[in-house]
Amino acid sequence: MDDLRKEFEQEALPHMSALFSFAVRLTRDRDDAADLVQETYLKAFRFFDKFERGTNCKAWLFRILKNSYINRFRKTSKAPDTVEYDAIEEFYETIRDSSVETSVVEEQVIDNALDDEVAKAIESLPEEFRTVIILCDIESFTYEEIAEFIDCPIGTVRSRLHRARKLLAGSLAEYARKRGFEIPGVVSKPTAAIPEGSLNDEQ
Amino acid sequence: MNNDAIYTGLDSRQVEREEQIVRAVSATLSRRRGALRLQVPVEVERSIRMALAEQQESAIRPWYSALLDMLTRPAFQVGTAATTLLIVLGILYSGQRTLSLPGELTTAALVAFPGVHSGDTKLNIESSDKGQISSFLRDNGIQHEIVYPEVDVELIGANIFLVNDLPCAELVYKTSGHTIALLQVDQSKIAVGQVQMDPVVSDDVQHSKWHWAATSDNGTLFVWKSNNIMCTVVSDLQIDEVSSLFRLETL
Repeated sequence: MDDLRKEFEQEALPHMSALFSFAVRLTRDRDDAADLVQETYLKAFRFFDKFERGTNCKAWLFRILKNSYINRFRKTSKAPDTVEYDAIEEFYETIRDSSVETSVVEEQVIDNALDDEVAKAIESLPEEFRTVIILCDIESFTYEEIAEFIDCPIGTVRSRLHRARKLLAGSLAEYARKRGFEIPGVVSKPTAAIPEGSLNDEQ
Repeated sequence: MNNDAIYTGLDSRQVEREEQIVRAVSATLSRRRGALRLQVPVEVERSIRMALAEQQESAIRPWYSALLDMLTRPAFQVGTAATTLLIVLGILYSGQRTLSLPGELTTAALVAFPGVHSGDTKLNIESSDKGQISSFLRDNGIQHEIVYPEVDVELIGANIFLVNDLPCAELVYKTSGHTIALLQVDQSKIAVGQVQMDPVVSDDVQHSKWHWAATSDNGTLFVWKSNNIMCTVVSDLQIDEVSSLFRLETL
């Protein structure tokens, strides 16, 4: 049992920071996130003998965390935030049109964005987009792992990721403009304006 | 959905520009991974490690609980019961002598404390004689010099616990029914990773000399380093009471 715990500590505990960050962005509450991560680790430890050695432990932990999160929401009758896809699409097209001529400027804006602004921009994304961008660009999961995580085809992962990055670019442009940075032709609006409802699949 | 579908309605120049933007976002996020990841608060990490240790204990407990249940059955022969009881006590006794704790030092100290405070964990040596305690600890695998801080409470004995298979000494003090337990580990064992130490606590100790933490369940935690020995105190006393007992300037 001690050997198992040692192996678990070595395999699973180094991912605590990644899990906690993701949980905070999922729950938007640090206390809820701490509870969620603890629950995740306790479940993972209980079923560690079922974990297939040599596979991605981090992805396994993230799946447990997601299931725990869903179960919690079911128990408390709170549904996770979802978005009306049409509204997202409309906003996305606005950004797409306006940024065509200014991609170089936008690249500079993105590159020079403050860490705090990037974090805020991620947090302001609707959950479906936030999840894929965190898993891919921050946590380095493969498309296959993300597809399994969100239970969608890989094509959906690709399209959500693309749109998430575009939305994020729009938010960062907005922050830059507020800081007085001139971006000719860019019309962006805060993602907070995106109405929330149910997600239609974007296949 | 493939890339063609993503870029429906755009000409090749527009596609290229759009790809530049999404690549820039992706690169920015990847590059700032460290800054974007939130650090786990030290109390959350400790709580998780302790919960894991408790879960491990509860997973072990049913094994001898079942044996004790069997002993209480009327049909069980008295002779067999006595023999089994001796075996069980032997196992529990030997288990206590080499009680294995979580690999992170502060978590180990906090996990060990309730048993020491309640008396469920019997002292390996009962003595207030520092020479006698040091000799006992040395004979039982403790290789470093034991730190005896100047503290206004009675030294009543010591324990040896295993932290990641490393025997570690714990001095136990009592005052008016309160307990102060001081777990010690050679800094070199932490440096080589044989014993883990929460980096937040470690930084605190390096930079401010002491690390204090009040935990709700298992007690007050106080960590400092003395002559390359990492000292971790846990007590049921409050922070101000612990600090008044220790002569901090001499630590």
